[in-house]
Amino acid sequence: MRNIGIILSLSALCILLVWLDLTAGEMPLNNPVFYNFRLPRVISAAVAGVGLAISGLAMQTLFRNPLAGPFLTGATPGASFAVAVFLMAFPVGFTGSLLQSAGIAVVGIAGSLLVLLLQLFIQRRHGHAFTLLLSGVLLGYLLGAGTEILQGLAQAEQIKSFVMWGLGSFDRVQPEDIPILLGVVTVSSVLLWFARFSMDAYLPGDAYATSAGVNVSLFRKKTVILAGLAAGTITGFCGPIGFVGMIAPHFARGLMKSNNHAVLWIPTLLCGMALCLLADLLAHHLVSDMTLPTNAICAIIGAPALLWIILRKG
Amino acid sequence: MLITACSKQADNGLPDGVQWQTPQYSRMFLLGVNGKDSFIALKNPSDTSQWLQIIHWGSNTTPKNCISVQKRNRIACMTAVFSGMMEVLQTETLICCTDNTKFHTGPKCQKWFSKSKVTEAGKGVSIDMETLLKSNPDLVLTYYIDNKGREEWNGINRNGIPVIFLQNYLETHPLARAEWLKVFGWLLGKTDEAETFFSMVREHYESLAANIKESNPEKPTVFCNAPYSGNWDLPAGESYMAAMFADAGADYLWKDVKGAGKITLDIEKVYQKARNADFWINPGGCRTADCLTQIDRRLELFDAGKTGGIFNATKTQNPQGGNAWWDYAVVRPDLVLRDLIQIFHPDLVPEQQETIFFEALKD
Repeated sequence: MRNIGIILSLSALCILLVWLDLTAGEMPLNNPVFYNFRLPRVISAAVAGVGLAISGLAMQTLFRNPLAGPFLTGATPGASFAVAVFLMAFPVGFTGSLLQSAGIAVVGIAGSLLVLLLQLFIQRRHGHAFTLLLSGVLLGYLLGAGTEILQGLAQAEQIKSFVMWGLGSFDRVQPEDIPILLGVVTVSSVLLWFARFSMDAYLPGDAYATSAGVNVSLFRKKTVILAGLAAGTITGFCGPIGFVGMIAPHFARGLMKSNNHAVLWIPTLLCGMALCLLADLLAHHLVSDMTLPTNAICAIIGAPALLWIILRKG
Repeated sequence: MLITACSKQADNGLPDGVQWQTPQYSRMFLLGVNGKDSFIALKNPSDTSQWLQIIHWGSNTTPKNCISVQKRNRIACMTAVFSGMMEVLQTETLICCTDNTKFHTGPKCQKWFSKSKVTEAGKGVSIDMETLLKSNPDLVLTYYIDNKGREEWNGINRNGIPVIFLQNYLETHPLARAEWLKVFGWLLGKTDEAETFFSMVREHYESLAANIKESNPEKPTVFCNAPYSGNWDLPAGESYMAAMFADAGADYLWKDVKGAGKITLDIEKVYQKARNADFWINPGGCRTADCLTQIDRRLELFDAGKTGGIFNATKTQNPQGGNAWWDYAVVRPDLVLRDLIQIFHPDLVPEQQETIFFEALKD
């Protein structure tokens, strides 16, 4: 009963945030701004929140590490590096082509998946979860260094494109992008939901998981690909959105007081949705006549919250 | 001829006994004379009550903490903005090193670069200091964005080569930015030529602006730039472009925003304010309407696109990405103003000619 109450409260919070985000600034529903700009932005914030949260929960389970998330596993740095390569490959003055617009999303996904495929290769050789986390961190450093070198060689306009993409924004998601974003996040989340019992069995250790009938190697591959696909797609479309994937599962665990994935699933996605909607709301309406970077707002909300959780747990 | 570049004085004051001339538009430099010695004082952009560099030219005394340069025959010119000014003063043949030759669009510069062995010390925004040093310059003319960028030049200074920071990009009035031609005239011994050229530019600009003010036409609404990944940078109300729009008789939609820098807005906020605007200037790197809608399909919703009101300063862009907008336009703001007046008020341009920098977006 308590759990249902929490889920209903979180749902109400999300509905409230959706309403506030949609209607802030006295936005009439018959205004073309509403359908062309406001609605796609709010939908993408909600969908990205769900995708990042579920991706984060899956990765924290996979790596048996509460700090795991799209950043730490190399998925987001992989997407960032691929986008940097893509943007720097275009000559100055060519910015704004169809290839560039849609391409950023596609290469973001490709970059993320390539890193995760490399992770799978490493896993085949050294299958320990700790190795995967360590290699993710190292790949993150390596790709970050590569991105910095590319920036050093780039022209000002190319750097601007990359920097603006790196600020993270749900504004750049256009109405026609929504079905792709929604489709990938839905498919990933649903397929990961089917793996919830395997996740429960995997958490205590490989031996326990194997004894419970889980094919550990296959489970890792599926989880990495599905979580990476969701994170890469969101990063490609919206730019890097930090902390949501890491913090949302922690909020859910704190509220539900459980590590059972079936119990955590809906609260986690609702927490992710609420975080992204709140960040989007603050980014657009905290300061009038100015838009703040969504990624920075996520960090401002997420970092103290994570610290509070860590300190509370002692 | 001896040139001495002085670092900031201990008391942040100016040398005694110098008669200073205040430029008409710029608030970031002073020209000074003391007998046979000449001075230029450059203000610190982050604190305009302080002096960034005081440059001394003469042979009588070398002030304390100063770096002397005996020659100025080989100049490292680290941006196209400066080479544009050097070309106007017919001193482009002094350039021995630059950032990236393809971005310097002046015909004389291009001729010089192809004829001589001008060193390219930069690829992108980075400068290879070692390559720059190998070009053996007498003087480096550059700028910096932040203090970290400024410190990167310390290595050149330590090698006894003075680095002069010319921060004219921070000027907020078009004529103030062009007035830095006087600094180049001073440094390169072309004071009279610089004065004459700037006077011509100033008079032309002022007469165009005065004509608009006198005619007091109905002001069309205007906005500028294009979104990058959903974020849209717009010049603030006291910026260079805002001043240009005002002088061209247009109503810039963000003219009331305080400051000379930029504001970042999301695409929705820009659309809400600018959807019915008459003109849209400088929409990123796009030269066609298709390109614009490929950035974001929603950009076709702006009225300016439906009425042929989108103009971009890409007319002088070369295939390598260089554009006279970044060099020649800085020294000829009068021609930019004439272009803009021709766009906003075609009937008020005294000399009907084709625009130089701007072109309408093609379908």
